[in-house]
Amino acid sequence: MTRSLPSKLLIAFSSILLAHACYSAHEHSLLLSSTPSPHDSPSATPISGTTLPLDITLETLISVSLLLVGIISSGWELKPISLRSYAGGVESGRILLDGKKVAGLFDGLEERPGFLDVRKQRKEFADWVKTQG
Amino acid sequence: MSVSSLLNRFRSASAYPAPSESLSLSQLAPSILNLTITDTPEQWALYESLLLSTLRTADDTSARLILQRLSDRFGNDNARIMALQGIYDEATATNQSQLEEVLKNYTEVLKADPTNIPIAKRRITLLHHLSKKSEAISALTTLIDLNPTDAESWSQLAQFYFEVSMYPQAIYCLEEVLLILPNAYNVHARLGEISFVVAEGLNGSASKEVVEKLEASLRWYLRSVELCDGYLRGYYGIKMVTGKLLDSKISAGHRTIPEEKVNKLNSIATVQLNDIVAGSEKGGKGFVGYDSAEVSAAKDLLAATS
Repeated sequence: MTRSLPSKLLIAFSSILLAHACYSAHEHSLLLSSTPSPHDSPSATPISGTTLPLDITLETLISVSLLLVGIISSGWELKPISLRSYAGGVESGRILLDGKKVAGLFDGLEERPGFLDVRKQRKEFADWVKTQG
Repeated sequence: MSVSSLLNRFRSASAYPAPSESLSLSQLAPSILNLTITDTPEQWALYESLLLSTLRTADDTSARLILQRLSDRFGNDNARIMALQGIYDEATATNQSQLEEVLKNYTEVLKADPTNIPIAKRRITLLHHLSKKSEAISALTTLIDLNPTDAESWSQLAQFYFEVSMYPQAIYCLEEVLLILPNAYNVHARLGEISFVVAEGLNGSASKEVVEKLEASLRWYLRSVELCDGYLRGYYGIKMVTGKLLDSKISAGHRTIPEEKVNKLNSIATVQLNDIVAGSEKGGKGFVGYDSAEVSAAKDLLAATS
Protein backbone atom coordinates (compact mmCIF):
# COMPACT_ATOMS: atom_id res chain seq x y z
CA MET A 1 0.00 0.00 0.00
CA THR A 2 1.54 3.28 -1.07
CA ARG A 3 0.19 6.41 0.50
CA SER A 4 0.11 9.70 -1.38
CA LEU A 5 1.74 12.77 0.16
CA PRO A 6 -1.44 14.88 0.73
CA SER A 7 -3.15 12.04 2.58
CA LYS A 8 0.01 11.43 4.65
CA LEU A 9 0.01 15.09 5.66
CA LEU A 10 -3.72 14.93 6.41
CA ILE A 11 -3.25 11.85 8.61
CA ALA A 12 -0.34 13.49 10.46
CA PHE A 13 -2.22 16.74 10.98
CA SER A 14 -5.43 15.13 12.19
CA SER A 15 -3.53 12.77 14.51
CA ILE A 16 -1.87 15.76 16.18
CA LEU A 17 -5.26 17.44 16.44
CA LEU A 18 -6.79 14.33 18.00
CA ALA A 19 -3.92 14.01 20.48
CA HIS A 20 -4.33 17.65 21.36
CA ALA A 21 -8.06 17.18 21.93
CA CYS A 22 -7.37 14.23 24.25
CA TYR A 23 -4.76 16.21 26.15
CA SER A 24 -7.15 19.17 26.50
CA ALA A 25 -9.92 16.93 27.81
CA HIS A 26 -7.52 15.39 30.34
CA GLU A 27 -6.33 18.82 31.51
CA HIS A 28 -9.91 20.01 31.75
CA SER A 29 -10.87 17.18 34.06
CA LEU A 30 -7.76 17.79 36.24
CA LEU A 31 -8.65 21.46 36.45
CA LEU A 32 -12.14 20.66 37.71
CA SER A 33 -11.06 18.18 40.37
CA SER A 34 -8.27 20.41 41.74
CA THR A 35 -10.31 23.60 42.13
CA PRO A 36 -12.60 23.45 45.17
CA SER A 37 -16.12 24.43 44.37
CA PRO A 38 -17.08 27.74 45.96
CA HIS A 39 -20.45 26.58 47.30
CA ASP A 40 -20.17 23.24 49.04
CA SER A 41 -23.77 22.21 48.71
CA PRO A 42 -25.30 19.39 46.64
CA SER A 43 -27.81 21.71 44.97
CA ALA A 44 -25.05 23.86 43.46
CA THR A 45 -23.25 21.17 41.41
CA PRO A 46 -22.16 23.13 38.33
CA ILE A 47 -23.33 21.78 34.98
CA SER A 48 -20.08 22.91 33.36
CA GLY A 49 -18.21 20.45 35.59
CA THR A 50 -19.81 17.40 33.96
CA THR A 51 -19.62 18.49 30.30
CA LEU A 52 -16.58 19.32 28.22
CA PRO A 53 -16.29 22.74 26.68
CA LEU A 54 -17.68 22.96 23.16
CA ASP A 55 -14.31 23.65 21.52
CA ILE A 56 -12.78 20.39 22.76
CA THR A 57 -15.80 18.38 21.54
CA LEU A 58 -15.62 20.05 18.14
CA GLU A 59 -11.88 19.52 17.91
CA THR A 60 -12.31 15.80 18.65
CA LEU A 61 -15.07 15.35 16.09
CA ILE A 62 -13.27 17.29 13.37
CA SER A 63 -9.93 15.54 13.95
CA VAL A 64 -11.55 12.08 13.82
CA SER A 65 -13.42 12.97 10.59
CA LEU A 66 -10.23 14.32 9.00
CA LEU A 67 -8.32 11.22 10.09
CA LEU A 68 -10.94 8.97 8.46
CA VAL A 69 -10.84 10.99 5.24
CA GLY A 70 -7.05 10.79 5.28
CA ILE A 71 -6.99 7.01 5.74
CA ILE A 72 -9.70 6.35 3.16
CA SER A 73 -8.09 8.56 0.51
CA SER A 74 -4.62 7.15 1.05
CA GLY A 75 -4.49 5.04 -2.11
CA TRP A 76 -5.63 1.60 -1.02
CA GLU A 77 -5.76 -1.01 -3.67
CA LEU A 78 -9.39 -1.91 -3.29
CA LYS A 79 -10.35 -5.53 -3.90
CA PRO A 80 -12.65 -5.97 -6.89
CA ILE A 81 -16.22 -6.61 -5.84
CA SER A 82 -17.82 -6.97 -9.26
CA LEU A 83 -17.47 -10.18 -11.26
CA ARG A 84 -16.59 -8.15 -14.35
CA SER A 85 -13.49 -6.57 -12.88
CA TYR A 86 -12.40 -9.67 -10.92
CA ALA A 87 -12.78 -11.97 -13.93
CA GLY A 88 -11.05 -9.38 -16.10
CA GLY A 89 -8.18 -9.22 -13.61
CA VAL A 90 -7.84 -12.99 -13.60
CA GLU A 91 -7.89 -13.25 -17.41
CA SER A 92 -5.45 -10.40 -18.00
CA GLY A 93 -3.11 -11.37 -15.14
CA ARG A 94 -3.62 -8.23 -13.04
CA ILE A 95 -4.65 -10.54 -10.19
CA LEU A 96 -1.93 -13.09 -9.45
CA LEU A 97 -1.40 -15.71 -6.78
CA ASP A 98 2.25 -16.26 -5.79
CA GLY A 99 3.21 -14.55 -9.07
CA LYS A 100 1.28 -17.16 -11.07
CA LYS A 101 -1.87 -16.87 -13.08
CA VAL A 102 -5.01 -17.79 -11.16
CA ALA A 103 -7.21 -20.39 -12.86
CA GLY A 104 -10.28 -18.75 -14.40
CA LEU A 105 -13.52 -18.99 -12.43
CA PHE A 106 -15.27 -21.21 -14.95
CA ASP A 107 -12.29 -22.98 -16.53
CA GLY A 108 -13.57 -26.24 -15.11
CA LEU A 109 -16.50 -26.11 -17.53
CA GLU A 110 -14.14 -26.28 -20.47
CA GLU A 111 -11.46 -28.50 -18.97
CA ARG A 112 -13.90 -30.92 -17.32
CA PRO A 113 -11.54 -32.85 -15.02
CA GLY A 114 -14.19 -35.54 -14.48
CA PHE A 115 -13.95 -36.48 -18.14
CA LEU A 116 -10.16 -36.39 -18.33
CA ASP A 117 -8.91 -38.44 -21.28
CA VAL A 118 -5.68 -39.61 -19.68
CA ARG A 119 -4.54 -41.82 -22.56
CA LYS A 120 -4.71 -38.95 -25.00
CA GLN A 121 -2.65 -36.72 -22.70
CA ARG A 122 -0.15 -39.52 -22.15
CA LYS A 123 0.26 -39.96 -25.88
CA GLU A 124 0.70 -36.21 -26.39
CA PHE A 125 3.39 -36.20 -23.72
CA ALA A 126 5.18 -39.18 -25.25
CA ASP A 127 5.13 -37.46 -28.66
CA TRP A 128 6.53 -34.31 -27.10
CA VAL A 129 9.35 -36.25 -25.43
CA LYS A 130 10.28 -37.73 -28.82
CA THR A 131 10.52 -34.26 -30.39
CA GLN A 132 12.81 -33.18 -27.54
CA GLY A 133 15.28 -35.89 -28.56
CA MET B 1 8.17 -26.17 -0.03
CA SER B 2 5.05 -26.47 2.08
CA VAL B 3 1.94 -28.44 1.14
CA SER B 4 -0.12 -25.32 0.49
CA SER B 5 2.44 -23.72 -1.82
CA LEU B 6 2.81 -27.00 -3.71
CA LEU B 7 -0.96 -27.23 -3.99
CA ASN B 8 -1.15 -23.69 -5.38
CA ARG B 9 1.45 -24.68 -7.94
CA PHE B 10 -0.79 -27.54 -9.10
CA ARG B 11 -3.95 -25.45 -8.98
CA SER B 12 -2.49 -22.75 -11.19
CA ALA B 13 -1.84 -25.37 -13.88
CA SER B 14 -4.79 -26.26 -16.08
CA ALA B 15 -6.24 -29.74 -16.48
CA TYR B 16 -4.58 -29.76 -19.90
CA PRO B 17 -1.06 -28.56 -19.13
CA ALA B 18 1.60 -28.17 -21.78
CA PRO B 19 4.01 -31.15 -21.87
CA SER B 20 6.86 -29.15 -20.33
CA GLU B 21 4.54 -28.09 -17.51
CA SER B 22 3.43 -31.70 -16.98
CA LEU B 23 7.05 -32.74 -16.72
CA SER B 24 7.96 -30.14 -14.12
CA LEU B 25 4.85 -30.99 -12.07
CA SER B 26 5.57 -34.70 -12.28
CA GLN B 27 9.15 -34.14 -11.15
CA LEU B 28 7.82 -32.81 -7.85
CA ALA B 29 6.73 -36.38 -7.03
CA PRO B 30 9.72 -37.46 -4.87
CA SER B 31 9.61 -34.30 -2.75
CA ILE B 32 5.85 -34.61 -2.22
CA LEU B 33 5.98 -38.31 -1.41
CA ASN B 34 8.77 -37.71 1.12
CA LEU B 35 6.70 -35.20 3.09
CA THR B 36 5.26 -36.69 6.26
CA ILE B 37 1.60 -37.58 5.86
CA THR B 38 -0.35 -35.09 7.97
CA ASP B 39 -3.80 -36.30 6.87
CA THR B 40 -5.01 -32.81 5.92
CA PRO B 41 -7.46 -32.22 3.04
CA GLU B 42 -4.76 -30.17 1.28
CA GLN B 43 -2.32 -33.05 1.29
CA TRP B 44 -4.81 -35.49 -0.24
CA ALA B 45 -5.84 -32.91 -2.85
CA LEU B 46 -2.15 -32.59 -3.65
CA TYR B 47 -1.81 -36.38 -3.95
CA GLU B 48 -4.76 -36.49 -6.34
CA SER B 49 -3.30 -33.79 -8.61
CA LEU B 50 0.12 -35.40 -8.47
CA LEU B 51 -1.34 -38.77 -9.44
CA LEU B 52 -2.77 -37.28 -12.64
CA SER B 53 0.52 -35.53 -13.41
CA THR B 54 2.60 -38.67 -12.95
CA LEU B 55 0.21 -40.63 -15.17
CA ARG B 56 0.52 -37.99 -17.89
CA THR B 57 4.28 -38.34 -17.87
CA ALA B 58 4.16 -42.16 -17.58
CA ASP B 59 5.83 -42.21 -14.15
CA ASP B 60 3.80 -45.30 -13.26
CA THR B 61 5.85 -46.33 -10.21
CA SER B 62 5.12 -43.07 -8.41
CA ALA B 63 1.50 -43.23 -9.56
CA ARG B 64 1.14 -46.73 -8.09
CA LEU B 65 2.55 -45.55 -4.74
CA ILE B 66 0.28 -42.47 -4.61
CA LEU B 67 -2.77 -44.53 -5.45
CA GLN B 68 -1.81 -47.06 -2.77
CA ARG B 69 -1.59 -44.35 -0.11
CA LEU B 70 -4.89 -42.82 -1.22
CA SER B 71 -6.73 -46.12 -1.13
CA ASP B 72 -5.15 -47.04 2.24
CA ARG B 73 -6.61 -43.84 3.62
CA PHE B 74 -10.04 -43.72 1.95
CA GLY B 75 -10.72 -47.36 1.12
CA ASN B 76 -11.12 -49.09 -2.22
CA ASP B 77 -14.88 -48.64 -2.38
CA ASN B 78 -14.80 -44.84 -2.25
CA ALA B 79 -16.28 -43.53 -5.53
CA ARG B 80 -13.52 -41.02 -6.06
CA ILE B 81 -10.75 -43.54 -5.36
CA MET B 82 -12.46 -45.99 -7.72
CA ALA B 83 -12.36 -43.35 -10.46
CA LEU B 84 -8.67 -42.66 -9.78
CA GLN B 85 -7.97 -46.38 -9.87
CA GLY B 86 -9.84 -46.46 -13.19
CA ILE B 87 -7.73 -43.62 -14.58
CA TYR B 88 -4.61 -45.54 -13.53
CA ASP B 89 -5.87 -48.71 -15.24
CA GLU B 90 -6.77 -46.81 -18.41
CA ALA B 91 -3.40 -45.09 -18.52
CA THR B 92 -1.36 -48.25 -17.97
CA ALA B 93 -3.37 -50.53 -20.28
CA THR B 94 -1.06 -51.61 -23.08
CA ASN B 95 -3.51 -52.96 -25.63
CA GLN B 96 -7.09 -52.75 -26.80
CA SER B 97 -8.30 -55.86 -24.93
CA GLN B 98 -7.04 -54.50 -21.60
CA LEU B 99 -8.98 -51.31 -22.26
CA GLU B 100 -12.09 -53.31 -23.05
CA GLU B 101 -11.53 -55.09 -19.74
CA VAL B 102 -11.43 -51.74 -17.89
CA LEU B 103 -14.63 -50.75 -19.67
CA LYS B 104 -16.30 -53.98 -18.60
CA ASN B 105 -15.28 -53.28 -14.99
CA TYR B 106 -16.89 -49.86 -15.18
CA THR B 107 -20.09 -51.32 -16.56
CA GLU B 108 -20.22 -53.86 -13.74
CA VAL B 109 -19.63 -51.22 -11.06
CA LEU B 110 -22.44 -49.14 -12.56
CA LYS B 111 -24.76 -52.13 -12.66
CA ALA B 112 -24.30 -52.51 -8.90
CA ASP B 113 -24.52 -48.77 -8.21
CA PRO B 114 -25.90 -46.60 -11.05
CA THR B 115 -25.34 -43.42 -9.00
CA ASN B 116 -21.55 -43.75 -8.93
CA ILE B 117 -21.04 -40.48 -10.83
CA PRO B 118 -17.20 -40.50 -11.05
CA ILE B 119 -17.20 -44.00 -12.53
CA ALA B 120 -20.04 -43.10 -14.92
CA LYS B 121 -17.91 -40.21 -16.17
CA ARG B 122 -14.89 -42.48 -16.58
CA ARG B 123 -16.96 -44.95 -18.59
CA ILE B 124 -18.24 -42.18 -20.87
CA THR B 125 -14.73 -40.87 -21.42
CA LEU B 126 -13.41 -44.31 -22.21
CA LEU B 127 -16.27 -44.99 -24.65
CA HIS B 128 -15.45 -41.73 -26.39
CA HIS B 129 -11.76 -42.58 -26.42
CA LEU B 130 -12.57 -45.93 -28.05
CA SER B 131 -14.39 -43.96 -30.79
CA LYS B 132 -17.80 -45.20 -29.67
CA LYS B 133 -19.18 -41.68 -29.93
CA SER B 134 -22.89 -42.44 -30.14
CA GLU B 135 -22.66 -44.82 -27.17
CA ALA B 136 -20.80 -42.14 -25.22
CA ILE B 137 -23.53 -39.60 -26.02
CA SER B 138 -26.35 -41.90 -24.98
CA ALA B 139 -24.52 -42.86 -21.75
CA LEU B 140 -24.00 -39.18 -21.01
CA THR B 141 -27.67 -38.32 -21.60
CA THR B 142 -28.58 -41.10 -19.15
CA LEU B 143 -26.18 -39.61 -16.62
CA ILE B 144 -27.74 -36.17 -17.12
CA ASP B 145 -31.21 -37.62 -16.57
CA LEU B 146 -29.89 -38.89 -13.28
CA ASN B 147 -28.11 -35.69 -12.31
CA PRO B 148 -29.46 -32.76 -14.33
CA THR B 149 -27.76 -29.99 -12.34
CA ASP B 150 -24.20 -31.05 -13.15
CA ALA B 151 -22.85 -28.28 -15.37
CA GLU B 152 -19.72 -30.29 -16.21
CA SER B 153 -21.80 -33.08 -17.78
CA TRP B 154 -23.88 -30.66 -19.83
CA SER B 155 -20.73 -28.97 -21.03
CA GLN B 156 -19.17 -32.31 -21.99
CA LEU B 157 -22.33 -33.31 -23.84
CA ALA B 158 -22.15 -30.04 -25.78
CA GLN B 159 -18.59 -30.92 -26.75
CA PHE B 160 -19.62 -34.41 -27.93
CA TYR B 161 -22.48 -32.98 -30.00
CA PHE B 162 -20.16 -30.34 -31.42
CA GLU B 163 -17.70 -33.03 -32.52
CA VAL B 164 -20.40 -34.81 -34.51
CA SER B 165 -21.64 -31.49 -35.99
CA MET B 166 -24.97 -31.52 -34.15
CA TYR B 167 -24.78 -27.81 -33.46
CA PRO B 168 -28.37 -27.05 -32.33
CA GLN B 169 -28.04 -29.77 -29.68
CA ALA B 170 -24.65 -28.42 -28.59
CA ILE B 171 -26.12 -24.93 -28.24
CA TYR B 172 -29.02 -26.32 -26.22
CA CYS B 173 -26.61 -28.08 -23.82
CA LEU B 174 -24.54 -24.95 -23.29
CA GLU B 175 -27.70 -22.96 -22.62
CA GLU B 176 -28.47 -25.52 -19.91
CA VAL B 177 -25.02 -24.81 -18.44
CA LEU B 178 -25.91 -21.12 -18.37
CA LEU B 179 -29.10 -21.90 -16.47
CA ILE B 180 -26.93 -23.48 -13.77
CA LEU B 181 -24.06 -20.95 -13.94
CA PRO B 182 -25.39 -17.75 -15.52
CA ASN B 183 -22.08 -15.88 -15.09
CA ALA B 184 -19.90 -18.35 -16.97
CA TYR B 185 -18.37 -15.90 -19.42
CA ASN B 186 -16.32 -18.55 -21.20
CA VAL B 187 -19.49 -20.53 -21.95
CA HIS B 188 -21.02 -17.38 -23.45
CA ALA B 189 -17.96 -17.04 -25.67
CA ARG B 190 -18.22 -20.74 -26.59
CA LEU B 191 -21.86 -20.22 -27.63
CA GLY B 192 -20.70 -17.30 -29.75
CA GLU B 193 -18.11 -19.54 -31.39
CA ILE B 194 -20.59 -22.34 -32.11
CA SER B 195 -23.16 -19.90 -33.55
CA PHE B 196 -20.41 -18.49 -35.75
CA VAL B 197 -19.45 -21.97 -36.94
CA VAL B 198 -23.12 -22.62 -37.75
CA ALA B 199 -23.35 -19.38 -39.74
CA GLU B 200 -20.17 -20.27 -41.64
CA GLY B 201 -21.51 -23.71 -42.48
CA LEU B 202 -24.81 -22.53 -43.97
CA ASN B 203 -24.93 -22.29 -47.70
CA GLY B 204 -25.98 -19.04 -49.34
CA SER B 205 -23.65 -16.69 -47.53
CA ALA B 206 -26.05 -13.73 -47.53
CA SER B 207 -29.32 -15.37 -46.56
CA LYS B 208 -31.53 -14.26 -43.70
CA GLU B 209 -30.56 -17.31 -41.66
CA VAL B 210 -26.85 -16.52 -41.83
CA VAL B 211 -27.47 -12.98 -40.60
CA GLU B 212 -29.60 -14.34 -37.77
CA LYS B 213 -26.87 -16.73 -36.66
CA LEU B 214 -24.17 -14.06 -36.90
CA GLU B 215 -26.24 -11.68 -34.82
CA ALA B 216 -26.89 -14.40 -32.24
CA SER B 217 -23.16 -15.05 -32.12
CA LEU B 218 -22.48 -11.32 -31.68
CA ARG B 219 -24.92 -11.16 -28.76
CA TRP B 220 -23.24 -14.10 -27.00
CA TYR B 221 -19.82 -12.52 -27.43
CA LEU B 222 -21.09 -9.17 -26.17
CA ARG B 223 -22.43 -10.80 -23.04
CA SER B 224 -19.09 -12.52 -22.44
CA VAL B 225 -17.17 -9.23 -22.47
CA GLU B 226 -19.88 -7.68 -20.33
CA LEU B 227 -19.21 -10.36 -17.72
CA CYS B 228 -15.42 -10.22 -18.04
CA ASP B 229 -13.51 -7.01 -18.56
CA GLY B 230 -10.81 -7.20 -21.26
CA TYR B 231 -11.72 -10.77 -22.30
CA LEU B 232 -9.47 -11.43 -25.28
CA ARG B 233 -11.57 -14.32 -26.60
CA GLY B 234 -14.75 -12.22 -26.46
CA TYR B 235 -13.27 -9.19 -28.21
CA TYR B 236 -11.69 -11.42 -30.85
CA GLY B 237 -15.14 -12.86 -31.55
CA ILE B 238 -16.80 -9.44 -31.68
CA LYS B 239 -14.21 -8.19 -34.13
CA MET B 240 -14.61 -11.25 -36.32
CA VAL B 241 -18.43 -11.34 -36.31
CA THR B 242 -18.88 -7.60 -36.87
CA GLY B 243 -16.39 -7.88 -39.72
CA LYS B 244 -18.62 -10.54 -41.30
CA LEU B 245 -21.78 -8.52 -40.68
CA LEU B 246 -20.26 -5.45 -42.32
CA ASP B 247 -19.39 -7.51 -45.38
CA SER B 248 -20.98 -5.90 -48.43
CA LYS B 249 -22.57 -9.20 -49.45
CA ILE B 250 -24.97 -9.08 -46.52
CA SER B 251 -28.07 -7.11 -47.38
CA ALA B 252 -29.13 -4.54 -44.82
CA GLY B 253 -32.72 -5.71 -44.91
CA HIS B 254 -31.97 -8.89 -42.98
CA ARG B 255 -30.25 -7.10 -40.14
CA THR B 256 -31.94 -6.35 -36.85
CA ILE B 257 -28.93 -4.60 -35.33
CA PRO B 258 -28.41 -1.20 -37.03
CA GLU B 259 -25.27 -0.78 -39.10
CA GLU B 260 -23.82 2.14 -37.14
CA LYS B 261 -24.02 0.06 -33.96
CA VAL B 262 -22.16 -2.81 -35.61
CA ASN B 263 -19.57 -0.33 -36.85
CA LYS B 264 -19.13 1.08 -33.38
CA LEU B 265 -18.77 -2.38 -31.82
CA ASN B 266 -16.19 -3.25 -34.43
CA SER B 267 -14.10 -0.19 -33.60
CA ILE B 268 -14.42 -0.81 -29.84
CA ALA B 269 -13.21 -4.38 -30.31
CA THR B 270 -10.32 -3.12 -32.45
CA VAL B 271 -9.25 -0.65 -29.78
CA GLN B 272 -9.43 -3.31 -27.04
CA LEU B 273 -7.50 -5.88 -29.07
CA ASN B 274 -4.86 -3.29 -29.94
CA ASP B 275 -4.45 -2.48 -26.26
CA ILE B 276 -4.09 -6.14 -25.33
CA VAL B 277 -1.63 -6.92 -28.13
CA ALA B 278 0.49 -3.83 -27.41
CA GLY B 279 0.44 -4.49 -23.65
CA SER B 280 1.38 -8.15 -24.01
CA GLU B 281 4.22 -7.43 -26.41
CA LYS B 282 5.70 -4.91 -24.01
CA GLY B 283 5.25 -7.47 -21.24
CA GLY B 284 3.15 -4.98 -19.26
CA LYS B 285 2.34 -5.82 -15.66
CA GLY B 286 -1.40 -6.20 -16.19
CA PHE B 287 -1.07 -8.37 -19.31
CA VAL B 288 0.87 -11.45 -18.21
CA GLY B 289 -2.29 -13.58 -18.03
CA TYR B 290 -2.97 -13.60 -21.75
CA ASP B 291 -2.04 -16.72 -23.66
CA SER B 292 0.71 -15.90 -26.17
CA ALA B 293 -0.92 -17.98 -28.92
CA GLU B 294 -4.20 -16.10 -28.45
CA VAL B 295 -2.40 -12.77 -28.53
CA SER B 296 -0.63 -13.60 -31.78
CA ALA B 297 -3.94 -14.75 -33.29
CA ALA B 298 -5.45 -11.40 -32.31
CA LYS B 299 -2.50 -9.66 -33.90
CA ASP B 300 -3.03 -11.58 -37.13
CA LEU B 301 -6.73 -10.69 -37.14
CA LEU B 302 -5.93 -7.02 -36.65
CA ALA B 303 -3.34 -7.11 -39.42
CA ALA B 304 -5.78 -8.89 -41.78
CA THR B 305 -8.58 -6.35 -41.30
CA SER B 306 -6.68 -3.08 -41.16
